[in-house]
Amino acid sequence: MENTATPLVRFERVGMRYGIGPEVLRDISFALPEGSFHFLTGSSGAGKSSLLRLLYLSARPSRGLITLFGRDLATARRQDLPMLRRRIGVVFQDYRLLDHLSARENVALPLRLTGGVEEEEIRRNVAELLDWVGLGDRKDARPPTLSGGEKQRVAIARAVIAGPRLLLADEPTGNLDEDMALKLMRLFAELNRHGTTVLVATHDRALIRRFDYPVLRLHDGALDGPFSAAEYGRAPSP
Amino acid sequence: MTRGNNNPNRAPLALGRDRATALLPVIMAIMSFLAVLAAGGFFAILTMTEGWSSTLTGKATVEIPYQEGMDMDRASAEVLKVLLDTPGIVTALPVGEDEIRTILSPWIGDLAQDELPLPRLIDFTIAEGQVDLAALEARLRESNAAIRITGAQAALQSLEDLARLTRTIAALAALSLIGIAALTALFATRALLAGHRRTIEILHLIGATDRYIAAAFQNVFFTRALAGALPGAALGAIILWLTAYFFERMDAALLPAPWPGFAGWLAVALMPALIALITSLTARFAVLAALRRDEE
Repeated sequence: MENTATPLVRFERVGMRYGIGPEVLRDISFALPEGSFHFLTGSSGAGKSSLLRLLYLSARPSRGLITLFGRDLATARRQDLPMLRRRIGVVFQDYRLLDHLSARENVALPLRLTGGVEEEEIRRNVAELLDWVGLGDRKDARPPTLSGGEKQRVAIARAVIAGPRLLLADEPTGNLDEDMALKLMRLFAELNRHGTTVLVATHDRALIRRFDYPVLRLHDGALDGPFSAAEYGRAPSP
Repeated sequence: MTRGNNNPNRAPLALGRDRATALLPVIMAIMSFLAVLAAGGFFAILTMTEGWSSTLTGKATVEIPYQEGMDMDRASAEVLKVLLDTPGIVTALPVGEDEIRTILSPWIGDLAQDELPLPRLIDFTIAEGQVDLAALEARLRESNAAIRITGAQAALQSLEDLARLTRTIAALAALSLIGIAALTALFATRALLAGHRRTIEILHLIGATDRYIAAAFQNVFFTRALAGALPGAALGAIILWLTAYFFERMDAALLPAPWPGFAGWLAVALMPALIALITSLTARFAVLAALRRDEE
């Protein structure tokens, strides 16, 4: 599954701190080859969300080198970021849906922002995807009326609708029942088979064992791995 | 505003019904009303002063009051020379004694006129707007402090000075109101930005550009400012029209009616668009600046 071409994501000795506080990420170095699938794990407060923030360009590192899609982010100008972000799909732990829009409109947002897609095609793709995640009868519901699991599925649909090159998911199955969690993981796997690079942050050891993908483990701001799922299963919890 | 979404309340940035912009149309209506009155007043005064200049002749008179022991002939000759040497004065002619007596006869009668000392009068005509009468009078008074210039042209100059001052004040008032409209937009934009910070952050993460966000603000401010400025300007135009109409019907012969003229009505007609444009551009640049600041 992995290849040895230029990695899609590369971190070299990256450090990150908020303001003048201590470093929450220390000397992080790893690479995500294009078309790879990784789990990112670690206990609460280990720095998973901070690492994801660096990846979806919501924060800048305090030191080190990050390249994304072959581009050194230190040289990226503010006006370059939207084009980079459009190639990244993100499933946020807190969903980050727009409450005044329906599920259908939330999912359609990335396509509408990108432009160049016919409205009819947007409607069709959104409807198909919402049907697929089991929300065919909730298309016009607004997020405040959806359950946590339903919001999660809308967030996932929004993240994948535009066919991102990099998919980042922060605890994407945390609010889903086992069947739906497996179904969505299979969706991620399917996207991965079609070339999308996937990084899933999760605490769920059963999920990691079930899907045999390499694991990156964060502990106290430092990164270990990648481990195979079997190695990770044998490793003691930090 | 947003491709494929015609309902502004379902746009990704639902700014249309926000409390921060709810009063914007009302404020812009007031600004537009006052700005139209100021601009209309500016052009009305301009039209009026043009009317004075064209209707009143360019004649004035130098009066040399009689003074005991003064050589009146010599004084008259000196004034005449100064007048004829002044650029812009077309003719200068002393008024004859007989004519002066005729002018004075309604007040002093015929009997004692030979014994009364008479002033000397010198009529002169000037090319329109080319002579500073106040400066000319000051120059004539260097040799005789009692000399004064009288006549319609002299009075007109004072009125024109007053009109110029009033025009300046009206123009400043119109510009100030437009400036206040921009400041109002700036504060409303900041409030709106603060209220929609989370949505903007989400849109950014999905790939929205700063220009997309700014355009959403710009459109909302344009439509809401225009919605207020149009009725405000219309009301101002009605007030201007009624003022000129009733002034004209009063038959005040001295002053022409304060019609704003073509340029004035054009300014009134363009005022709502100008206010909406300035308001929306202020919002746009305020958003772009704020987003850049947030990044830093």
